[in-house]
Amino acid sequence: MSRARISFWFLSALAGIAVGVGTALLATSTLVDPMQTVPGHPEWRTKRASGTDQPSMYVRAFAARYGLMGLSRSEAIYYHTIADRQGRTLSSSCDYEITGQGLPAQWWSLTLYANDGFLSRNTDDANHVGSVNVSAKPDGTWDIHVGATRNGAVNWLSTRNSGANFVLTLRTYLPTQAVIDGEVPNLPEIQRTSCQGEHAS
Amino acid sequence: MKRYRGPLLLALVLAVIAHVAVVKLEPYHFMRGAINRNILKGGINSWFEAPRVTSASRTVVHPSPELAYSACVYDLSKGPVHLRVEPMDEYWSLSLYAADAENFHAWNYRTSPQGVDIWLVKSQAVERQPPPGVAVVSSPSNRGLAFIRRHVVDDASWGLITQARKLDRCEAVP
Repeated sequence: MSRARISFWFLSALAGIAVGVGTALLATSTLVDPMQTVPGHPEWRTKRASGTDQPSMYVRAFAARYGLMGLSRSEAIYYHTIADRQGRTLSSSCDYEITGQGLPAQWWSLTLYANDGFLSRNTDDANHVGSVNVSAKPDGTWDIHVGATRNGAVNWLSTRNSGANFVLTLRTYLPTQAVIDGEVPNLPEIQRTSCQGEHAS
Repeated sequence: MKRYRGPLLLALVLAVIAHVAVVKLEPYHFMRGAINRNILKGGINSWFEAPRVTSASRTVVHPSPELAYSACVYDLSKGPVHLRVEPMDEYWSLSLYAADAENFHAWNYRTSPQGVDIWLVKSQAVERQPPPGVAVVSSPSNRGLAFIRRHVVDDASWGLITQARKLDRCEAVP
């Protein structure tokens, strides 16, 4: 076999390995999307129910990369949003009203994160509201004001020092079997009420 | 064209093998990183008790301010490890993660209101029997992570969690 022929075989092998490694990293970092929009609640996204106890090797790799040591679906289900009900990106320049009611889980917590993924650096003590401290109305529903100031609201999530945008994460712990099996819970609705220099909507 | 067939086939086979190998090994890679980080914080076979999450916390992205975390890297290469979690009235859970990041066992305040008291072993063939009331749980790997989450309701509950943590155990069985 000529030297050129050996080199070609060698380069082919290297190219094959490079393509394999590259496509694997691409698949597990961006192409696999185990998240889905919650039907009827367009602002919320949650992890897709796999319907099996044995997720694919891609889902396992993605989970290890982005959700290492996460809780199983029977232990907790998380919902995330970066937008309001109308699909507009959540902005720290705006105020929002979140309306909801009891959720089908043992307990829940709604947390506001700054655009760097951490809790907002402020002293408002208003980075999360949960089933243990939310103040509900007699009919069981509740409203949470989201903004840089409390504005007289009973329930408040502060956006002060959150950067330009923020993220909301709703964690429901020990959800009911129906929700674990795929039933869609009645999730809170996020409506923009006003923005700096303009009126709502 | 025929002369390219062999090298192209080789490239294709190696691409598939490399692709599958990388995807399957990724969980081990990320888990090894988490284990090494926790060894730096708390060593091996001992709980690292994370401080309360505040607006100044910058260790973990998207921290849960309503949870108190404890983590223990277990190593079963020299024998069983005793894991104990003190029960509380509020939510708590213990999750065990193997070297491939699989959550192979979990308990919580509903499934185990009496808490957790186990010997963690590599295989079911345990030479010594644990004391009465202590269950034996098998880990798929020698090393892994035990993770406690406890619900922080308010300042008072943080005090109770601090007390409960003193009774938690993650230690090699002598």
